[in-house]
Amino acid sequence: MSTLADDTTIKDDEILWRRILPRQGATIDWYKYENGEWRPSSLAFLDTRSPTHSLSAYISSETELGRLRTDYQEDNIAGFAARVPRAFAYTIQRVPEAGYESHVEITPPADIWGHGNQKRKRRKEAARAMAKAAHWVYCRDCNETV
Amino acid sequence: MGMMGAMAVPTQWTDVISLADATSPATWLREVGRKLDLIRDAGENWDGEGGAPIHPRIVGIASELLVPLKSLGLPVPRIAPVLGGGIQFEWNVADKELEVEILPDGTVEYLTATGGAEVQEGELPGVPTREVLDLARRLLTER
Repeated sequence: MSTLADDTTIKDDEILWRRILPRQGATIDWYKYENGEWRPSSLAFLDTRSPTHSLSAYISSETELGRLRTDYQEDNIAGFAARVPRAFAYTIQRVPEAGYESHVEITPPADIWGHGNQKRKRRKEAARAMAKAAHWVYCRDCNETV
Repeated sequence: MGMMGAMAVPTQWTDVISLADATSPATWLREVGRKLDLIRDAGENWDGEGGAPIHPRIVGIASELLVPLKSLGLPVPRIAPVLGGGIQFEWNVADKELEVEILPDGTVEYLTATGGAEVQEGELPGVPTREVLDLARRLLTER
């Protein structure tokens, strides 16, 4: 297994949009209230469904926000710069999906695939950085104050 | 309604909790149980992409780890499913963080951080109730 190639046509300052499950039901705690606003938890930037732990996102400059919101009406959308995951040696690949040519996967380096041996720690560090850097592009659940 | 009916009213108030009792172990357990129920009941496709339900065994491990913490005086943790089938619970207490993740195979891992740094992590054996209790106590006592 080797680290997937990084698509350098996606610039570091490109904003990536990640769909985040709504602040309700089982995923209500994917959000935390900090300094007077709802923030995404690092949990929203972890995915163990594939062996590569890749995260789904969209290249913002190539994605129509209205269409994304229509297609995924339940989800909220957080944006962050491509440089954030890259700072942790994550790579970005274009993986067109469901009619979105702008869909990408953000993939950790191969040496932190799987679990144990500091791997989770490094993925968590990247997830925390993405969560911290994220801004809401759209969040229908975030107006409630605590 | 006669006097006997009025006398029976107190039995209807067993679920009312005074503000002074808001962090009682019973309240804490009830809230933890409610969150675990949400995860257990999320069912098929909880992630919107055809994901399998969180396995009851994983919910059961989470419950076994959390129940012994009921009297510590910790806030109710954030408890959430992880994409891929696990459950994570986590606290932020002052500048300290504790995350405990139960992986889909039942393995339990933890991560602690102080001030956003000094990160420690590891894997815990079996269903590590004592170890998680110790980690949780450190949230309240370590400086």
